[in-house]
Amino acid sequence: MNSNSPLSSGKKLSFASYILAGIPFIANSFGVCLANRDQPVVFGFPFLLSYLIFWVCVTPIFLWLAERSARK
Amino acid sequence: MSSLVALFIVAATIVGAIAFGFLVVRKITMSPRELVVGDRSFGPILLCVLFAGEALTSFAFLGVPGWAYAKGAPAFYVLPYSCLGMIVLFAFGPLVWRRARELNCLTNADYFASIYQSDLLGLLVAVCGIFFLVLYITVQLTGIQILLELAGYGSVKNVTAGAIAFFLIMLFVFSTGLRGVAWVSLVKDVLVFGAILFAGAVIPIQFLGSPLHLFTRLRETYPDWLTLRSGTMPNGTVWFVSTVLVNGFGALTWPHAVAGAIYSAKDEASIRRNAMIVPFYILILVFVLLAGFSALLLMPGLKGDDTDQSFMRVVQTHYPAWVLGAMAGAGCLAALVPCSAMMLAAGSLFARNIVAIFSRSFAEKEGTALIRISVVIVSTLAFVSWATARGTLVSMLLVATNGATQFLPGILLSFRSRRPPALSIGTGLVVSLLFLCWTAAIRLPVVSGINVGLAALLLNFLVVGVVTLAASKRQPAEVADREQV
Repeated sequence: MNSNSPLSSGKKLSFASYILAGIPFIANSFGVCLANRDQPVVFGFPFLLSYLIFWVCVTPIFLWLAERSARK
Repeated sequence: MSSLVALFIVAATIVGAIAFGFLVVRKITMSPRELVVGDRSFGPILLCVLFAGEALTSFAFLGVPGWAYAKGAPAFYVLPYSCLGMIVLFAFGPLVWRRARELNCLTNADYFASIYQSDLLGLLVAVCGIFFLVLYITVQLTGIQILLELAGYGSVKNVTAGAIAFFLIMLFVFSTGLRGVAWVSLVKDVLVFGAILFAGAVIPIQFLGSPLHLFTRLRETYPDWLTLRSGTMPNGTVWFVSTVLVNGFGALTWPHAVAGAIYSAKDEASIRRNAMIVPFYILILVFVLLAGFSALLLMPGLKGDDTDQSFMRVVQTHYPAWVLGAMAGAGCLAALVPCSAMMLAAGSLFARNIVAIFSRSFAEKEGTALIRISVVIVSTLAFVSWATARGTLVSMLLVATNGATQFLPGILLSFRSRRPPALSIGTGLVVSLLFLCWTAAIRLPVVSGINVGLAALLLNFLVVGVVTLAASKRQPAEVADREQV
């Protein structure tokens, strides 16, 4: 009923921040279908595993950007 | 002799960690809010160890390397699913936190009961939540049992040792609550990190030259181990993506995760910051995978449940007793600490959303004591069901992990200003759980390649939509009323 309560002091995510958070979401789920390969080998790791490790590492960056584009 | 050394180290690790927790959390005035959600005062660091603790349970220690050993690439799902959990937590965690604080919710069921204004829905959510948590606790108990048997070099066969550890941690959570759990998580994570780095880096370097050489060897021996099968084949890409989705949303729905990583936060920024830290923490799971793969090359031939012991068998065979003891001790903590968070969540559900239905005044007056007693009741229930019906529990486990995600519609729809009636949320939950029980009964883990959990979730949303529509047609006056607002 009242979603905008007086206590809601935090930031509200903007449209841009949902897009920014959505990119790693897609990459970590549906994107895996496109990365299901062993070659090319990246630093000795099979491609699929390096793809997943890459997205674990960059997810925080996307979340940080999403936080920054949230409006006060 | 060596079994004594190893078991002694395991015991010392567990007792030491618990003693540390008691020391840190000595002088705290106890209230239900302090006990269950740490007085909503945790910053990103405590949230992180509590939440990442979720990623480092005995499943990470035994189950994930076991999957890497027995199945290969499907085990990779732990990486994206944990990431997805953090994205979901980042986007929706603060929204849940805000409403939970406003309505003074301490449990998932409190949240459902006050948002949808139905104690009955709260009761339903509590009963389901306790059922899932009890099942999940029994998994950890099995993990502890396996580790103790390993550390005892086969000499520990009965359940007494596991029982002592289990009830010790219960007493601990009984007295210190979530704050104690958070601090012990910190100790646990340091030890588990050490153990996993040893298993995933030292073992491959020592026996296979380097972690990277490991993959070359794997390609020669098990060429299809490093990629998923295509499409709808068993454990193929469709299964992978649907499993990642179902488990990822669990970050927002598991009762102990919600209490530990959302309600306990001191502000919304802490939740978002936590979501940005945890992925780095998750990287440690890469070493867990390496450990499982190394075990496959060094000790092939394990079958069935034994695959769970993959790298621990290597440690048992090739390293001295004290190394095995330290590893098993860390593993036991990895099982016990999340277990304690689950006990607390299950106990508070029992006290606040089941007992309170019958006597609200009693539940309010005896708040803290009642939750503590409930923790004992629920933990004992979990232990007894584990000791008597382990086989049945294993087949029910998928119902629990997939079932916890079925709280999702109720949580997502709570953000809307026009909410569906409690009836539709409850019906969706019941229908999807019946569907999951049915699939478990006929041993059907996938529906045309899709994880049954995701299929159940879609069914759940569908039922919620249909019942909401039907209900709004029956009471057009009320809807018109709300639309004016």
